[in-house]
Amino acid sequence: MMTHSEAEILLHRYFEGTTSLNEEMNLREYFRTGDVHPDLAELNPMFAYWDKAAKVMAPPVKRTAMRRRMPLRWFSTAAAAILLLFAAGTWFNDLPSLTDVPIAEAKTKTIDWSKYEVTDPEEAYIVLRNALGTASAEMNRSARITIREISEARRILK
Amino acid sequence: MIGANASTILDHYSSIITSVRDRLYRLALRVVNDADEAEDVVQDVLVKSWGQRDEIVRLDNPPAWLLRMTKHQAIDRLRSAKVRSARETEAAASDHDVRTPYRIAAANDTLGHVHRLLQQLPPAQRMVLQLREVEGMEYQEIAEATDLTMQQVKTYLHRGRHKIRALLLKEKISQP
Repeated sequence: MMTHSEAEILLHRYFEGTTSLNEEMNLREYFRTGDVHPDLAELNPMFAYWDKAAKVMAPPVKRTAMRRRMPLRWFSTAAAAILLLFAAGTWFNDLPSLTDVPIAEAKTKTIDWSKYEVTDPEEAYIVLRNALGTASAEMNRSARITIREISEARRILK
Repeated sequence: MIGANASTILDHYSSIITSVRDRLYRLALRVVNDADEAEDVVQDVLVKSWGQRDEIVRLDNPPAWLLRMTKHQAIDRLRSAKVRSARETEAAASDHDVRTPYRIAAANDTLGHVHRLLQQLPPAQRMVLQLREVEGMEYQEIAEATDLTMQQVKTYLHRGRHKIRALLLKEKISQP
């Protein structure tokens, strides 16, 4: 059993950070006895607290932990995909089979693409320029939308 | 042969996790100060460590690696919780009345009060105190588990112990 003066010396070293783990264990034991000198009683709660904290245990592993942590949007995405597959399956089933379409009818509906073909180089250049212009404008629009959304998010997070 | 090796790794990994899980939880709890958040931190660490189990079982000190990972995860959680809290504080009026029945009762609980005093310390000091006072780890082990130098560990421990004593004296708490 540690005496009051021994405990006092050890406590001094404890607060200087020069005690070993073994000495700290002895100190803890001294405070556990309940027979603590009134001069040192102010430290009772601290040592009692460390003892209590050491008894804290992790809760049992939950089998459902992974399911609980799965984001809701995954379920929404999966549900939407299943619904789409179901709808697509129904739609394809409702289509007449290929053999139901008369070959003669199919032939009559052939499109003559030659009349749409661009033969004039200048016209081809204009068509190409318009196509590239549209693509460029759409890409710039996407960037603008992205920048706008990021700015909005920053404003909300401020 | 490969199956036997995988089984050995799995057994070794399982025994490491079983031996260290409570320590990971207590460390996470010390940092985030919320049982649910601490549980989530440990869950995240275990999920990540599972993917690296082959490497973990070959480490010299797997518990130090897991504690370090827990520390990082817990601090990340704490940061995001602070951001959340700041946003919620903006959205809701602050509670100025500190004398609610719950708070009065909680203040009377001495160990609960020590806990609250401890939570006033910076996270690094809390972690070092936790690993030394609760887990009984050597300075070197704490340094490995926290990414701190030995000198930092000693300094934080010294400061933390003094701060707790000063707070206890200031609050005049004498009996547990």
